[in-house]
Amino acid sequence: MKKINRLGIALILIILILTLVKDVTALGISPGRQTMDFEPNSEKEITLTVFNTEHKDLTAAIFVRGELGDYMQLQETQLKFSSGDSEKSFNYKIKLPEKMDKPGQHYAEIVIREISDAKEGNDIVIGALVAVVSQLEVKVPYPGKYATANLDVVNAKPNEEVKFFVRVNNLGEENIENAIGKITIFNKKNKEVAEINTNNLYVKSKDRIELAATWIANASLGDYKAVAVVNYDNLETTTESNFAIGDFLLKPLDISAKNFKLGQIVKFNILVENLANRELKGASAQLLLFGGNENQVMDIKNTPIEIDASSRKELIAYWDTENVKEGNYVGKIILSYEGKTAERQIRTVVKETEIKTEIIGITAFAVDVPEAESNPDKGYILTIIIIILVLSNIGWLIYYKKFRKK
Amino acid sequence: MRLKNKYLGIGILIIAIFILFIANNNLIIQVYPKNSSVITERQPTFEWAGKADNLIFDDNDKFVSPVIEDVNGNSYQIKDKLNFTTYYWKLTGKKNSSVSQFKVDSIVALELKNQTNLYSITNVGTADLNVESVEEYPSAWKITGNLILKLNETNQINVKNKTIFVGRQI
Repeated sequence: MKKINRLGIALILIILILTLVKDVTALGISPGRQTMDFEPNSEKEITLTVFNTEHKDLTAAIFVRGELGDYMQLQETQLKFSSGDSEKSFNYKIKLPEKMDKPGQHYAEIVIREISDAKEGNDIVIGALVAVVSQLEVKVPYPGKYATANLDVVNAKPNEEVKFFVRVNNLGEENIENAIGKITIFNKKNKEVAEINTNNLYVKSKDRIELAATWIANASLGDYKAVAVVNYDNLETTTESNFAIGDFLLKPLDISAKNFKLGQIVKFNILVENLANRELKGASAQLLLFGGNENQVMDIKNTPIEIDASSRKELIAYWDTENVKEGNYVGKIILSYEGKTAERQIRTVVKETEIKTEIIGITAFAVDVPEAESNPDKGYILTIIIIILVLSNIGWLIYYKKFRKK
Repeated sequence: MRLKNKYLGIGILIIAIFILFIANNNLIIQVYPKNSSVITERQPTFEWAGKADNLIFDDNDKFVSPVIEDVNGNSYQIKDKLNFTTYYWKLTGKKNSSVSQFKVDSIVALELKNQTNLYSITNVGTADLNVESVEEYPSAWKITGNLILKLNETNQINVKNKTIFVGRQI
């Protein structure tokens, strides 16, 4: 009966949604942006693809906008789609002038706009329409030498090699004989931590190169800023990037409970350390324990708190042990802050007046290994069973076929 | 019929010899993305024939800042989204593959749903979009609003006058 009711509600909801959603329209274009370098009097033909993702009968107008619009020629001004057309392509030509005075980026836009059905005498009146734009970016070189730079930081893990890549774009008319970068790393308090140099390279006009540098991250975990100053033929450009050393900045140190008595509510003190050079917000720990048949016996969590930079704090969580029996339990601690989580295995020994929890790999005490843990890997056994079953089936099939032939 | 079977047999033999040749020589042949192709997927599954240990790709033809992935089998879907640029890729193993290149192009796409007076607009393309709402006049567009729509993001807008939502890549 309940099932029928749920089905009825679901049907009503679907009908309601279908009634409310009167019209769906969609339009797409690829590529969304094309880039070309300015060359006097150069000509280029570019192909664009328009997508009719809703598979509808649709007419789309094509037109040109932007400062370079006068240099563009459209070969078509309309595209007609039937419901069977998912995409259509068209070409346009750009013919650049002899000279463009202003260096930098110049744009033109090719706009694909749905044409309202109402204009064609259809009854449906749509109050809004969609249009999609493919941009053409023409880069006019700067006189003399001119470069821009971007900085990427890769693999920022503690005590490992952090890689810095400085991308240098030569946007000038002249080649750059020598480009070299100096990268300075600052901590959260804006104190300089390290300074490293990149290799040096020659950069052709309108070309792009990458300068590289490495640094061993022998610094505390947390947030840093890298500032790269690129020197190119006695000119300079600066770029910076923020990065963090370490993926997870909260470390569990100990789980303890004082004055324990089985059957009562126990207060857990979960000691954690903020490894970062900054405050961590919303730090919390969730403790989960499971019994012999993987029955969950505990799922507790503290109220999220803030933890100061490079400091330790106890997170408090409570567990009602009313229906809990003496024994060994396995489980995990899940630590979280600012939307990040990490977990570690734990095991707990519960006795009448004592409870001990070990964070595996961090704290240790002598406990009997729970029965569940001493078992061989269940997945391994399952694989063997499946292989045996498959092989016996194949054997049976071969035998059966031979027998039938005879 | 016999002739057809003969050709089929020869075809299978050639393919088998080719596979054996690749296997014995530890050759790695790149299959997808094809060399000099243009794709619109930002997390493509790379495919190849032969045994490879590492998939290496970079937007720099000298592989200055490569992404290196350990691979098993003959395909690998990358974890992070690619940018809209040209990429170079190769595979290394007992022997290395050649270097192939492909270009990732963006798709700018908008979906508009009309629910009574309320319109919901969704970015269904592959790039983050700057969406302008404009009123159209014979000589020009008058911009009445603007919003940023991240990938797959939806925004609901109340439309009073006839409006065009114009999406362009950020």
